Amino acid sequence: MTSTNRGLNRLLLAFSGILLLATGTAAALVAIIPEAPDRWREFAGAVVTRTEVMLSATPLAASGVSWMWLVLLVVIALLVVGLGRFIVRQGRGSTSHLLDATPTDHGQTRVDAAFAEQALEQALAGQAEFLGVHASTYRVNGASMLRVGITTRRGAAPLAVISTVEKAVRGLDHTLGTEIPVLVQIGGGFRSRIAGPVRLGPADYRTPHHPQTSPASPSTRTTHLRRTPV
Amino acid sequence: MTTPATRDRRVLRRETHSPRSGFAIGIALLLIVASLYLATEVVLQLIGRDPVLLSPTEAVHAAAAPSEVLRRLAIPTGIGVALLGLVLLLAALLPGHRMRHTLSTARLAVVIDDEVIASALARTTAIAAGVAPDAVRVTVGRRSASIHVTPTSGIQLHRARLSEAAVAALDQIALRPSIHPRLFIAAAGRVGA
Repeated sequence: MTSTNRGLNRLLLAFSGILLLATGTAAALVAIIPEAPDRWREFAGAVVTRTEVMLSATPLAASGVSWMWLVLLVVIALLVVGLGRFIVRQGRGSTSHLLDATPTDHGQTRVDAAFAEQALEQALAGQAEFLGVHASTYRVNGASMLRVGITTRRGAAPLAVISTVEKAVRGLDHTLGTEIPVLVQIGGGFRSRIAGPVRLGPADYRTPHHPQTSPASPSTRTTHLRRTPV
Repeated sequence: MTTPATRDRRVLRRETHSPRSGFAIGIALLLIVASLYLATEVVLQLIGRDPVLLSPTEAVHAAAAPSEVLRRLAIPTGIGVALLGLVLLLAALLPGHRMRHTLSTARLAVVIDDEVIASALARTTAIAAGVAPDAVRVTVGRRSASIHVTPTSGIQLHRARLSEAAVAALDQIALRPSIHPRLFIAAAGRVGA
């Protein structure tokens, strides 16, 4: 859901891959084929001579060194800055804005992403088959999209998990008065491996600490609003 | 303007394929380090100081007229570099599937780790077979799942019924791509399993 430019990632890999493949193969071939070293010497010698001529033809006033070196340094600097930006841009795309309603005569309504995230997390917190719930919001195609990551216990039925989440999301829809697109990611992982399997007790088992597990019910929302520092 | 279906398809495709960020960041870091080193050597040569390892001019001359030692070294190094290049090229071109399946409901786009599907399938099969959960081992691939059941000694398992239960469970979830279960019942049972 991040805005990482995956095409660019693959382009960089393809470009450097082809470059390394070609250089490596060429170096090995030159060393292996008997008459190749002489050819290489001839060719590379000519290139070196031509470069030296060019360097002496482009002197920097009075100092005697070529300004081509400075051009090289600038190119390197640009390359380093570009690559640095490329690295920093990986994994971006999350947003703290959920929605901006169209302004009316009386003002405009804005909803923070944290509201929806915490409402969903709280609504799903009491489920016995969930080990962890984490909601986040990303900018996708110019609109906000919620991502709900769920860690389940071993053996949890995917359909039951999905319908539980769907109920909570419908509750959120009801509260917001609009439907925000939602991606649900159901995962297991290390926590699920050590936590033991799903309880075979009553399906609607509730822990005493989370009396409200219904989807974003009014009481849940009230609790949420009181608890959240503004 | 993109439709919700197009958006969900795009998001789910991104969730089921590797972004190749690790590889790309690694290569970018290597390039940065190499560039900074080259810049250092260039500056050192320009101000007339001794190089850290080899000044750019010396390096170019050494490469243009390779000594016998350098020539011998070029064979293993060249092969190593070419192999690394091949790995990078494959990483760039292969799809890089992550071990996940997707499905869509009327309201949600869902991506499920194969691990979760496997453990749910194991539980369904264990209940259908009447064996302990530990007696079922499931591996989920992209299009198939293998279910290994160890029966309890002395109790015959109903093969068709177990298959049916697994197929029904998977059909109900309607995963993309769909998974075909293959059932393997161990010849030797286990006592008290």
